[in-house]
Amino acid sequence: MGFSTLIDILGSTIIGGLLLLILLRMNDTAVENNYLFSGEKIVQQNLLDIVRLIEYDFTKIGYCKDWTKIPDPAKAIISATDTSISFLTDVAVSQGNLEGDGVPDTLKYYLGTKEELSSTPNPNDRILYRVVNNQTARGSNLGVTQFKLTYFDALGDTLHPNEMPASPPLGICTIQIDVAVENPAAYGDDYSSERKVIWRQIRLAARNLKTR
Amino acid sequence: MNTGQMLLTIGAIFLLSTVILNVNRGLLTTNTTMITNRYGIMATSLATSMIERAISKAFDEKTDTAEVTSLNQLTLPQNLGLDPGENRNDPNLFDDFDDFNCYRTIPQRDSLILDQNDPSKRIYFNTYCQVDYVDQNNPDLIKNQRTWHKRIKVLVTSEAMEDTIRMSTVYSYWRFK
Repeated sequence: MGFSTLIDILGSTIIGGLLLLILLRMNDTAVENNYLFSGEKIVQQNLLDIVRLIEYDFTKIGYCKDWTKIPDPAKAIISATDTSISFLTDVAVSQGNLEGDGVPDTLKYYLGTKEELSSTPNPNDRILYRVVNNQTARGSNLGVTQFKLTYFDALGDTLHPNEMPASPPLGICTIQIDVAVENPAAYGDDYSSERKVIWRQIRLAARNLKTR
Repeated sequence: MNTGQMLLTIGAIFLLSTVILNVNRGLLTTNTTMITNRYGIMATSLATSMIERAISKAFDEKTDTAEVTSLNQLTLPQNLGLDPGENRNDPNLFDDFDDFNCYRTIPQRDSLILDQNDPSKRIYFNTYCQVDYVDQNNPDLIKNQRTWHKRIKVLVTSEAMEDTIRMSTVYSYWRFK
């Protein structure tokens, strides 16, 4: 084996190694991106599911199949804070009966604590609870990191919860809902702001809040 | 290294480069789609917010405090927009549906903070609104005379988005008797 042959073998080994490194790096990037994109897709789907439910419920604030059961819709919102709201509505009985049963229900939305989900890698995620009447509080971890409610009166001025009356009517006409969702277990523990998806909805809580 | 080996090596490197470029292109395309979707969700929330805000107002300036029984009492098509005492920078002063026509050419500029700890991380959106009288039987047909139906068309654009979010709804005059 001559010297030039050794050079050939050495050169081939180095170039082959470099090519192998490139392929391994490419594979690593592809795997990482696969996780990132899958996570992002799940986060976006979670957000849309949450928003769809919130929109549906909030639109029906003060609604009842038998309207005489909620004679004063201005009193439909029972309590309101920055991260929770409780109101009267008529929850759908089933897919076949979306109008409700004609009996007012109390629906409450509130945000759980970070400690409840200390087992998840994301330090900021919380459970968004939806409680009908006095049922057991239920909620799934969809990666909600922010659920902020801002209230406005008929003039469009902000209503701070500590300035509201102790009992209904609270004077709320419009609600701004800020929802942010993050991946509960992001790849590489990257929970930076660029990874969250935000939804802001300024909506009239319900037509029913106006006296018919 | 003879000529044949040289050609084989060049061919191999060319194939490898092609594969790497294709993989890279695929990753970038997917990334762009994801980011576009994320900003699209934000833009959709702004568009629906604008529509919700609009339909919470009275149908017309004339129906804000009183009822009308004739089309002639409604605002003329060329006058759809702000009324005296209203300011485009203060939507809280708006009292009727067609006031939002003031954003027809000059948009409302919104920003969303991406990071509460760093307010400089913002994304800006421009929201255009177009309010017109429309035909009862064909809501896509803009009428140059007064009807009982108005349509708001909302367009949301952003420098961060490739596409424009377009949404619309028809608002009709009704009253309890």
